[in-house]
Amino acid sequence: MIFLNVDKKIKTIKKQLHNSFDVVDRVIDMENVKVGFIYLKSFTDNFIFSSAIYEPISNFQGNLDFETIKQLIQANDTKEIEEKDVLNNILKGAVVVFLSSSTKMLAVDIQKFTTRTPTEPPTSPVIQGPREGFTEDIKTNIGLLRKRFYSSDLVLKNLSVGRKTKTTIVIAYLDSVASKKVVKEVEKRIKSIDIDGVVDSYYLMPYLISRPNSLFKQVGNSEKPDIVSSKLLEGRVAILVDNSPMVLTVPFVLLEELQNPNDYYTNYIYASLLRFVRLIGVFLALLGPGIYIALQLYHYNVLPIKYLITIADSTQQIPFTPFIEILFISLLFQILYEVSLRLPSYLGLATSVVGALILGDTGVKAGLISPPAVIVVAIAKIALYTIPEQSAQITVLQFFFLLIGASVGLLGLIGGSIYLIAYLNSLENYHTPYLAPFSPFILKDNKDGLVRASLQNMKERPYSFSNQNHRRQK
Amino acid sequence: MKDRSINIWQAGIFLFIIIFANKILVLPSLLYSGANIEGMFCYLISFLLEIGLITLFIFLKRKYPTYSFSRLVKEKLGIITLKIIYVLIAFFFFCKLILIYNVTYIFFKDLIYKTSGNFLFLICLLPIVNYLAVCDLRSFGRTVQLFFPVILIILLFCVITSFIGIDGMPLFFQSDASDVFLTTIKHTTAFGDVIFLFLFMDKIEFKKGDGKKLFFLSSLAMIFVCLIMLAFYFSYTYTSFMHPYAIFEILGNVKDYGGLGRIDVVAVIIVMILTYLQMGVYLKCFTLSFHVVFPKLSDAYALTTFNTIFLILVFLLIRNLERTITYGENFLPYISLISFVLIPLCVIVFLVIRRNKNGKN
Repeated sequence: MIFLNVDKKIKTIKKQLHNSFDVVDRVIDMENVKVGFIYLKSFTDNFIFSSAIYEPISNFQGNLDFETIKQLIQANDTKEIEEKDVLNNILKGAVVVFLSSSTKMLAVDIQKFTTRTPTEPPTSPVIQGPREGFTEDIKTNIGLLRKRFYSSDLVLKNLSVGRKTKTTIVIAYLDSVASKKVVKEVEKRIKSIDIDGVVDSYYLMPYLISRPNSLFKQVGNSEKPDIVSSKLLEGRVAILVDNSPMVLTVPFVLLEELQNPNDYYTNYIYASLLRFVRLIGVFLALLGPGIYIALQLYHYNVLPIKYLITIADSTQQIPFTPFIEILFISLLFQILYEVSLRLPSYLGLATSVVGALILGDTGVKAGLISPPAVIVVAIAKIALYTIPEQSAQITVLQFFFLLIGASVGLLGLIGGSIYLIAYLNSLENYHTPYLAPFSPFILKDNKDGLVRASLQNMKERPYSFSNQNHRRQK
Repeated sequence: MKDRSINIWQAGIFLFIIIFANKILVLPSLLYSGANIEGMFCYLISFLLEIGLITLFIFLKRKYPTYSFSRLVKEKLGIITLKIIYVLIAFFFFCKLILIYNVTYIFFKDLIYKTSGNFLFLICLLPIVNYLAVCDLRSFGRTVQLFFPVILIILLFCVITSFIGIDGMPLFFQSDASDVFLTTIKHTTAFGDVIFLFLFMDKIEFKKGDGKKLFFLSSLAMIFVCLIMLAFYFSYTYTSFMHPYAIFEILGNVKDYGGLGRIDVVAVIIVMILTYLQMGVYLKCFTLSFHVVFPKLSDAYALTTFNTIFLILVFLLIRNLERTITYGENFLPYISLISFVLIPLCVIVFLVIRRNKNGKN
């Protein structure tokens, strides 16, 4: 009995796919039944299709019905689908099988494309500790997480975002730890996204936060499965996006940027020292040029006389005002940075040499820029990378404070700092204060704050954000 | 913006800043010129009054944990009294803002901004203070909480280094008790700002035993004020009245200490931080009072009113130390009656009304 016209069905699907060149169809015409296959050759494993699907069916001698076909297919991921899901499955790399004697259809997932191996990500290299990094393939990324949790507690929820791209998004969390409220809110926010496409996880960021126009990053991100795993263990929620090696985590606090994976793979006293160094680095990067300019322009009388003489000696021949001088060097650095990022590595090195040695040294010798100004900008720009994840924000603020220091001096710098902190204190996502555990001060969380206690002493999960179970170890 | 509540530590830090901030710059020198070293008793008398106000606040908070002060006044004394009291409170904080601005302006102008004009100070101070006044109270509370360790470290540094530099001591008991009391009354303007607690009353989370935390932080502020005043008197002994900026001068007295170079810049930094935060609290109080008087008008109206009058007064009236001191000594002591007389009077009336009601029941 004929329930479905296979040729007509194939024609309809091909039409829906605009007869794209990579749409492949096959038909096996047997005595009283026709079996049709349709898939995208660019996206599916042709070898598996032939050996595990096509050949077993075509070689079968006997009465072929839907249940027999199901048994004959030797692929793992086979499921029955409805009419409305046909296109979706084909577009995700499945082979859709249908036969004339049945209205039921099968989708066999044999998706295949080349992915890179989970190598160490360039953004977070470690001296000790795991070197695996996420890739662009979400299945590989889920596998990297799964192998760190041999527990049913790890929940993975599948969503799809993007009218055109239909990108797979996976929300990962630990069922007994993560706050259900946060999970629900993340899910709600992702479901409410109405966009044509999600090309990378960064596309999701503005939709996950309450102040999308803010300069400051409000969602955590990492390319390393060990970091994401540790965040899941703390009760955070991870968001994996297909085609992106960057996994997002929420709730996010600024302290996370002061922490580095290396801190947990080294002695805790040394790690604490490093955190102080990073904090000093941030301070120097933010305020260094601003303070220098403010002291030089407005408050030279508070400088000790010896420093004053040194600075006056080296700046008296400079034709520019101190502000223009510092601005010039800062912009020069920024240009060199941009160039070295985009040039191939062998040329990047040459640019650095030209920038650092020729421009810097010659500039000083020619009397265009002064050595103290070069030193101040160099320190500030190097210090910027003690927290590379926030370098963009700190760079913007560095120019802002430079301008304030030049316009109104120390009073403006302190006012600007108060404004900045008050603003950061007003940022809250998922009921989590941005500057926690410093303000509001949460004593227990400071065991992994500016100093890091030994792992035996970190018995509880953070109180800075809500989670179901604060006890980590007895 | 609707303010969210602050915890007791944040309220205590506000209290610390308010008690400490305007008593360490020009006041020690003025008190010395009025009552010699016995000027420290002026502090003690005024502190006792402030402790009294804090006790009243804690008492009210325990009796009416969810009430705001304005609601209490409205329910017990009627809407007209409420408006009159809040107009006076707004006026009190406005006058204090003018005073603080002038004192710090003259201080900065004298010491580090010799060539800059008034406009520069207004550009620095007004936007930040306005922002602090309109931002959520919880964000403001967290900001002062973050700055508190910095303030404490700088103060400890100031106190320790200044005591190391001391090599003399003035003689005690050279003034009469009448000198002490007259000087106290003359400079009472520098005290009584703790009434901001009454304005924040419904926005402070208060649990059993939290009163102790408020007393602890206010006592800490008072101890620091006394230590700085003593360090100043011991540093400059009989010439203390000639040195107008106490906290700056005590560090100036220990120049080049320990190879650190000039450390008086530390005092400049602490005065700057305290000025911003203190003015932020005052303007917040002004805005809150404005809202009670004109409940239908938004923050923008409160700030526009403040900024307009403030700018006119700041440009036209004062900006010279002598005139500011005259303004503070002759005119402002009367507005201190608002904090030391009016508020306690209100609380006593509430209690009498409450007792009468209980008696009738």
